Amino acid sequence: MTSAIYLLSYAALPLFGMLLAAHRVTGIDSRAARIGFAFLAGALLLTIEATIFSIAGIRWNVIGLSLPLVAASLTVLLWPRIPSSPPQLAGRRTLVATHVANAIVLISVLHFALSIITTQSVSPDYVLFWGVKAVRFAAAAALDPGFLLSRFPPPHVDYPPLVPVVQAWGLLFSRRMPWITAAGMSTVWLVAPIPFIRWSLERAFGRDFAAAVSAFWAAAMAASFAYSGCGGNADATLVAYISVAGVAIIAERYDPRSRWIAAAAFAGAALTKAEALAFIGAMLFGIAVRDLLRRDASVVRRVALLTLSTAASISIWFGYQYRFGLPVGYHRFTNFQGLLLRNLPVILTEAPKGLSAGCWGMSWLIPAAVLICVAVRSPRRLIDALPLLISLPLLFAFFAFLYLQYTSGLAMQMSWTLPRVSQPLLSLLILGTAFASGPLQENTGRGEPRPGTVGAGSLSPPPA
Amino acid sequence: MRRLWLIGALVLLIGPVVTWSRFLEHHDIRRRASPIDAAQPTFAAYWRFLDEARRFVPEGSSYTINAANGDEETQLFMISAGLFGGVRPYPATFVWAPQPGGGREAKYVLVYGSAGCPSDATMMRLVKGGSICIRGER
Repeated sequence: MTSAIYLLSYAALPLFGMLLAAHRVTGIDSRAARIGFAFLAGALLLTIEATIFSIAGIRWNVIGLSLPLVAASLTVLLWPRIPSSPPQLAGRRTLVATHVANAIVLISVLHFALSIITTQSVSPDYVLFWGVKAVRFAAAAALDPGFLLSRFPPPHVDYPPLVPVVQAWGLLFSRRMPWITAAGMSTVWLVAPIPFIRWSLERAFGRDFAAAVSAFWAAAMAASFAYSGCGGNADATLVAYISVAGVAIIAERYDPRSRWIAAAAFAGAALTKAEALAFIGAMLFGIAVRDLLRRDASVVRRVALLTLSTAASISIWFGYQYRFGLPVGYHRFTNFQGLLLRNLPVILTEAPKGLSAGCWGMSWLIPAAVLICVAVRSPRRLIDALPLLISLPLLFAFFAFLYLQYTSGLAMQMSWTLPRVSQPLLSLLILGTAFASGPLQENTGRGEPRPGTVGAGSLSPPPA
Repeated sequence: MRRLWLIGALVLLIGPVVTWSRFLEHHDIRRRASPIDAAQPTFAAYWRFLDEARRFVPEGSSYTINAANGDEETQLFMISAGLFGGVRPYPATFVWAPQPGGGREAKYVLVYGSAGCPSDATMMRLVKGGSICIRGER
């Protein structure tokens, strides 16, 4: 019963997130994509609200946290709605391919969910601090500064609060922590971005291609999450936000409103894990490079909006730290004392193991091979995907820079961190490659291209 | 290109198939006692011990954990933070550092891996993985 109540509590999050997902400013006209994005937005809004409540000394309860968010969402939902796109008639081949893709998504989601429920893929960090914080925050009905500042605090008191807040939200309903079920809810973070990714790709390339890429993304990420033990921690959450942001950044070329989706996703990522800032920084650099290559004059405005949304959300967490006398910011995780070149052979030996992602590295190799083909045949097609693809060399170089500083235990550190820290990059590789390799023709497999979209890979400017 | 992505996705499913066939060789599908039973058997043993001990330590009381070494005491204490809310902690070791007092202020002593008790505490109950000892009222 406790598990069922906990599970049902997550149904409130999409309702909270409708404030952004159903708003005209984001313009999501697919019901499934709207619900998926609403879950991510709802978790973000709940976290912001719960943190502000804690700063203001207001204790959490279900009604107090729900009312403002539901009221705000209702104002959007009761407004003239964005019409959902009508279902498309599909040919026999389309149907078979779509059904196969759907089956792959379902199997992948079940793989991750069952891996957690059978406790194969639950993160040790979940019982050491993620879940611990959730239990203590729910018991205190606040982001409990007394616990974080106590003589015996949990590890990583500086980590941002989104995952513990969402886990604690369920506890406000269930009272007792259903530890396995709560870890199992990590599956929702795998599921939520899929309809949004699919919808974004569908607008650019048509239904068949979108379904196939979404299936690949789901299979790759599920295999990686299960293999790396991501149940109950923040890794799947970070991947969800970074992936949605990445897709929205590229989709902005087809629909300028996507920039607001990317801004919200960056805000969510920044409140999920400290390392999100590295991924966001790399993607912003990629946007700048792409826009300069395209001679797009709106580069400053675009980068400024995304930087502001990230800074605004992280400021709420830092504001909480400041309010209660916690050290503001993140702890440094290395003290630079030079690079140890003797680490290089260890890095080169351990990296392939760390990037195996539960499928012998196939999830990296397949999109990498496609990307090489695109780069050889039509390198200009890579320009649009640069914000995603440029993150890979930048962040792998950054990881190597960090690993080169370890004085001992590097192999063990890499085996623990690399499979997880590389997951957002795997996602960006798949999505960036998909956008660079999508079919160029105007006939996208679902009839005429939708008004307001342009053929993929076309470097013509977006419609006004 | 669509076909390539779809075939690629099917290829990726081979990994999970192999993972599950290996898992089912050594495990059965049943309700688990801890969230980390299969992932981290050592942590799972800590969890089961603490979870069982929690039922005998009342709210508003205090506890410490004794184990064979500082590493075990550190891990046990970190895990206990999620299970012993409402009970005041006096760890003997915190983040691998022995604490002043060694947890002697605590009323309940959770002894992992032993059926014994410290000299200033009496046995209250044996649980799977260790024992719960109690010190006199303070």
